[in-house]
Amino acid sequence: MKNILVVSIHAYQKTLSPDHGILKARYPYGFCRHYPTCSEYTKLAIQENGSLKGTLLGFKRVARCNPFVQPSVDLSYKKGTN
Amino acid sequence: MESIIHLLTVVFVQPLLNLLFLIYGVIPGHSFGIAVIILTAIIRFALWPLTAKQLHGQKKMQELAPDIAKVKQQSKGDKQKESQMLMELYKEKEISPFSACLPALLQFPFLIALYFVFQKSTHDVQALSGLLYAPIKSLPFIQSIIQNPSSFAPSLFSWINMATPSIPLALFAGITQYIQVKMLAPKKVPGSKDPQAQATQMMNYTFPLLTVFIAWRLPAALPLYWSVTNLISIGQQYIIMREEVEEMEEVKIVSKKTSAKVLPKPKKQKAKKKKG
Repeated sequence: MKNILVVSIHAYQKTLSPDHGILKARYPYGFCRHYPTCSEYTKLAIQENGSLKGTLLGFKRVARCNPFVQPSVDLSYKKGTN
Repeated sequence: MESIIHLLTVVFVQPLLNLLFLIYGVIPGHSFGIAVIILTAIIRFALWPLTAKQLHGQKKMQELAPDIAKVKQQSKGDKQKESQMLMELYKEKEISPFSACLPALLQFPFLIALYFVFQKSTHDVQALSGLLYAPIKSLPFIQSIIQNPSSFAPSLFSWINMATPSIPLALFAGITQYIQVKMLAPKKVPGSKDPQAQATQMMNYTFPLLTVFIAWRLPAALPLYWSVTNLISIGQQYIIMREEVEEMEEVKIVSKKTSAKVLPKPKKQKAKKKKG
């Protein structure tokens, strides 16, 4: 399960993602407001915390990725930070 | 999966479909093409503030390009350090250049819904009538279509059939897409061999070509939607770019008049102080 999720996020990053794949050229200064980007964050969160908690963290992160939140370096995917 | 599709239909597809048929049913002449244009315009103008904000940010980023290049050099490939420094730079210059994932993701169900709306509304009148709300169905014109499906001839000025692919409209969508992307592209630095700039150049052509390629086989309502979207974006970009130029000119004039060392502070962006 974990691998399926990680591989599909990776596939998304290589294709559709405005931050990682071929669309990067359209947004040369980056698209996502945080670091790491939402997809990278979710990938790392799943690798660190397993499928269930990682996915949940990913959803929470996307919710935080809106114009009313100050851009940040967000390392909260690491174990023990929440 | 079934229930997800049902939910998407109720939340996204049905409201859009009904809005489209409301317009179709009430406008004089009952042109399906015109109804598509009006629906597109309503959607784009509803999103105007969001796009405007994003464009302002992108424009300011272009001006900051030298500073950004400096930061990239200083951080020597350490992505985390680079992001940290860039964010400080933006804070200092009081710009919020970023788009955000959530609004972008919200657009996907919307796009898919529009696809279904046009696909359904141009092909299957029977399935369609099941999705229309009662007041829309009781519009006399819509009623006559449902009772007599063969009379349903969606077209633009009875010239382009909206239900079948149209090559001229696909091409038009590609051309408008090219202009729209081209306007946003950073200015070329002559003789520079920055791989990123070259990739951007490639994108300028890839995107419109992809648009034509996809639109080629879809019901013409979709390339029509896409063309109108592009045209409105082009107008919007033009207005915002001109505003920026005027603002810059003002600053120059004022600073000449005062001729003091103190430069007038440029208009501050609304400070966003919500916690991250």
